[in-house]
Amino acid sequence: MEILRVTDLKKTYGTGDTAVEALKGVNLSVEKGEFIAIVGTSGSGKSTLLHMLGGLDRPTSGTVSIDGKDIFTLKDEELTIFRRRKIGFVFQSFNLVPVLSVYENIVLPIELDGNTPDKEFVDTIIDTLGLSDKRDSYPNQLSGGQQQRVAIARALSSAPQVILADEPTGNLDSKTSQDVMGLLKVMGERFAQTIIVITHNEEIAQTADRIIRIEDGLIANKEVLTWQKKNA
Amino acid sequence: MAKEKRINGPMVNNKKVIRSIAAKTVMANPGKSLVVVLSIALCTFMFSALFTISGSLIAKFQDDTNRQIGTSCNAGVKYLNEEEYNRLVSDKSLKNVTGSIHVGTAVNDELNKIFAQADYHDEASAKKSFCYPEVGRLPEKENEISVSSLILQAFDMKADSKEDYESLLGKNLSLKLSGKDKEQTKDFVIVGIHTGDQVAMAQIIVVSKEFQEKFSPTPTSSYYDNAASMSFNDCFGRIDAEVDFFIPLFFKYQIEKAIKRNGLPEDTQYGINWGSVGSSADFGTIAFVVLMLFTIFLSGYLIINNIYRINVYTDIRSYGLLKTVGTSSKQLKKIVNRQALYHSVPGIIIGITGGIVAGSLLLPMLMDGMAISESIDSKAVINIWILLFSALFSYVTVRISVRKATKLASGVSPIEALHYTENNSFRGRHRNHSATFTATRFAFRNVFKEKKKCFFVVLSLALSMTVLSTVFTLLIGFDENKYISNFLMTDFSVADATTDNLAVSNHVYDGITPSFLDEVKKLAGISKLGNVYAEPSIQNLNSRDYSRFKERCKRYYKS
Ligand SMILES: Nc1ncnc2c1ncn2[C@@H]1O[C@H](COP(=O)(O)OP(=O)(O)OP(=O)(O)O)[C@@H](O)[C@H]1O
Ligand SMILES: [Mg+2]
Repeated sequence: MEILRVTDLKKTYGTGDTAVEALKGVNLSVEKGEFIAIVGTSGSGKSTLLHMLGGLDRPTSGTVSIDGKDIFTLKDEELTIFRRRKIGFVFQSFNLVPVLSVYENIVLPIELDGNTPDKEFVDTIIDTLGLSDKRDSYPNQLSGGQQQRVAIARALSSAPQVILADEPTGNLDSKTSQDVMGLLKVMGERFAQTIIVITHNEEIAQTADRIIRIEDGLIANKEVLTWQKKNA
Repeated sequence: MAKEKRINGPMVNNKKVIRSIAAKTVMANPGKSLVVVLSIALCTFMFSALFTISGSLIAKFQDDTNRQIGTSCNAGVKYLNEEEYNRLVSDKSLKNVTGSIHVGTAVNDELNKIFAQADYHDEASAKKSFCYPEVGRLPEKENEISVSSLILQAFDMKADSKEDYESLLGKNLSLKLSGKDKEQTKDFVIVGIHTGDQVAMAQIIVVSKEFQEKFSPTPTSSYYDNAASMSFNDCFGRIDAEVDFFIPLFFKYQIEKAIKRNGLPEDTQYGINWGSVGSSADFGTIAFVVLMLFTIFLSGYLIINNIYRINVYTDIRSYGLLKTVGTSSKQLKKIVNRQALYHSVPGIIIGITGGIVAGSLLLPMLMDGMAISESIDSKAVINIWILLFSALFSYVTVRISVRKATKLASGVSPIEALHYTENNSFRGRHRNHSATFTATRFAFRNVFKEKKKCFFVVLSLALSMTVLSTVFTLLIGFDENKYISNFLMTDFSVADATTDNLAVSNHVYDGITPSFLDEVKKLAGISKLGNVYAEPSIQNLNSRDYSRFKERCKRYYKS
């Protein structure tokens, strides 16, 4: 089942002489439950693509459909609400609201939506990510790896359609990176999440169902790798 | 958008999380919050202190002049008969009308230095005219009076305190009263005493209605009908109506309208309370006051506005993040507004308390240097409306500032916030992973990068200080000597007391003798001595000139 479809997505920053064509016409289809790694050189347009997928920014042209809904037909305020219900984000750093505790950060998207968190579900996530004894800690009391795990927990807690992660392990040492990515993958499988991760780490990329290589604003490969294996 | 299937239980109010984020943001950085609270407190303090002092001073000056004039009413209409007076009383557009009747003048020798006026006052009028007895009551029987303590002192009675007053009640006082074409000496019983005021133009003896009707009955004819009247003699028995307006402004205009409305004679004499702020409000004064208020408010606004903007700026990273995880612009606005409330409440309370305290402490110091009579105390007049207004103004200023700040916060696109998050700058290209974010660094960058904003913060602080010090200098710099020199050229002036006492008909003009002047010259420390000569003169007018003179007087009184 297709959860995400990108058609001819273009994004140009600035105008005239200073214009930068960050995306030059990207086409992509993602199935529900896929774990996808996006790789590419610095400045190739990975983050730009991810932001478009999550509705954080609007493209110059082209469409992004999530669950059959063309997200850029939504107004800003609607897009925000769509985002908190359907998409979970994990960034490289500064993922957490510093004045809120770990637990409060995790359930923030749910509460912003006016819902009461499903305690059991949230507790399962927290336990699985090994954060049980950190529930009431504040972000500045956590290590980098712990912070990223909290961010993953938050992304999972509202049970979104898609989780988007932009170099979630970029600031971590390799051992911790492996742990965090491993957890992300495990959680994705466990809760049947579709996950798209940008990474510079080839090793990590290799564990994905599919690797998408971005070069100069375009997708450079049609590799399917493990995706084919899985379906075989 | 379509309502989505909810997986996380029933819908609840999301107010709780908004409030909690707001409260925690305020609490998370106590230093920063303190600065914001203090800036709000400073403004509220400025408003309330300034208003308390200026409001009190206006009230004191008002009281002072009222005591000199002898009434606290907005305006008075003079020499009415019963029917004319009742017309005013039943005029619904006047807030209240009280009446007093001029009965006569006490001309005992003991009262040489005092203009002692015998009037009938109803209760309301007595209160308005500062002659309501502090001890005892108003007279009822024909031979009863209520008097000013200064009159009693003139008769060598000890009347310095309430106890003295008590002991004087029931005592007899023989008064020589002069009225219309008559003079009568009568023994009165003292039934009430009020403390007389040195600054008042006249000391009041309140007589009963019964006595008034006997001694100076109110004529039925109108004072203004008779062209030949207009003499002081014809004033006896006439009713003076004291009038208050619903809107205490533009007295002259209002009283003239009231006279017309009630069909009183066109040339009806009236007086307005010239001591009242409302009476003297002309365009220039109003413009000056408005300008002053505007400047004060502007400075307050600039302080709060800029501090608040900086406050929001330093939080912008959090707002950006909140936005990426799905906080809507509306919710962000609510978060910032909540914070404003948490800042305003303590700020306003501190400011108002400080303002009252400072105002009360400064007022006596200020009044010390001013020409206000001693009978006025220097207690600050705490006006609840002024305080409420100060509070409201501060809060509104905060809200306006916050509106701008929330626009800023909610207008941040998540993508900008992301760049901000990852690169500490809105420019995505130049990365510097080692650059950690610190408040100090941010503050410095803000100050230098945002020169315009920095300029406004400094300007607003400077402006408020300027306004404060200007007002205080204006008040403290009030030069009493200069003020008095308008009326008096010398340090002392000596004259026989009868020379400027209206009640005395036989003025003594040779009280100062050459030998007295010789004695004075011998005194040490006299640098200059001069004389003012006066001579009583009676102008003989033929009938044509007399009528012309009267015509002039009429015109003069009317204007
Ligand atoms: N807000 C922006 N304004 C102008 N240009 C931008 C902006 N964001 C990105 N770009 C440019 O678009 C291009 C793609 O940037 P993008 O951030 O997508 O690269 P990336 O693949 O994520 O690189 P990295 O691996 O370094 O994160 C770059 O040339 C970048 O400079
Ligand atoms: Mg990137």
